[in-house]
Amino acid sequence: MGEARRSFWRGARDMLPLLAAGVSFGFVAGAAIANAGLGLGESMGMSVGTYGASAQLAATLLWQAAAPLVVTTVTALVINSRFFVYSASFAPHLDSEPPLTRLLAAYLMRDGAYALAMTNAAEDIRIVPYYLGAASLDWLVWIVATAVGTLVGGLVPASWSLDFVVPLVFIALLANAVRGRIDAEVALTAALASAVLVPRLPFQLGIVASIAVGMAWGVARERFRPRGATA
Amino acid sequence: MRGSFWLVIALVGVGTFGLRVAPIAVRGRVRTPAFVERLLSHAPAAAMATLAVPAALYVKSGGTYTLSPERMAAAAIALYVALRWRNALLTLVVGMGALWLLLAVR
Repeated sequence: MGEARRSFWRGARDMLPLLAAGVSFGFVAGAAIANAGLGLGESMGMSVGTYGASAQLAATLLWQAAAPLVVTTVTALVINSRFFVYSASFAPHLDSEPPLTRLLAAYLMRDGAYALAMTNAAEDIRIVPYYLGAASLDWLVWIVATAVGTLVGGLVPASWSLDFVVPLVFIALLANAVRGRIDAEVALTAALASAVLVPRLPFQLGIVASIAVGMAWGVARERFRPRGATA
Repeated sequence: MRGSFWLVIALVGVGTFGLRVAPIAVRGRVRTPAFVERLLSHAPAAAMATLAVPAALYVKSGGTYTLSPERMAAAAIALYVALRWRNALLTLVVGMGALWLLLAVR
């Protein structure tokens, strides 16, 4: 019990530096809801119900642009498909946990807590409470940040270019995601595709298309190397 | 109009929870096709780059994308900082600072 509690708070503490991204991004995602003519109810529904990050922003912008429901949903789910990968790799740690803990761990799965738990868990730390500590704080801050963004986001003048925080957060996360040569090629391919496709394809289909191009490049490149050779 | 947004929330919410819970729920019983696993293993790098680049290159107003040299330069500086120090807070501070500076001296 004592060890679990200590691990929980250690996870929450390690999450602190990552919260800057969550705060600013949540603020932008919340402001986008208000900008689309929606209110706090929709903002909280989106944050609690989907608990994404970029997917929430993308879904809001697509809905505002009157994109077809299928396009909006598929785009958001493609963006969130990385959570499937995270859950699959974290799953072994949850084997001996009760069903409720596994459901909670699944619901809270997001970039920061996953990365912390998989890379920072030391020997004297229990990984599941550590993960839950980081993930709970991430969740709480995200809910508050999107709420504040919805309520006061419209007050920030456009000349501050605060929307630029969004690509900056993705640049920071991209730097963490790129660990080897193939990762770098995947990122470069997707980057080039998105620069060309996103402004040109309707309904923001360029996002899905560019992610697909990047992933396809990765798989194609792996065919020329033995499995497991990538870092 | 608002009703359709709640429909988006419901569909994305159920789908996203499904993505998160499926590998944990079916563990040991169903194997994910290897091809799908390999494809998805590239999702983080592909998704982050796709989400970063258009917003780093263009200013979007309405449906029009306009190239912004200031944003491109600030994003390039931020990318260098992100790769060099892998620190999210530092990347945000330097990136926003660079953009404000470039917009001010334009």
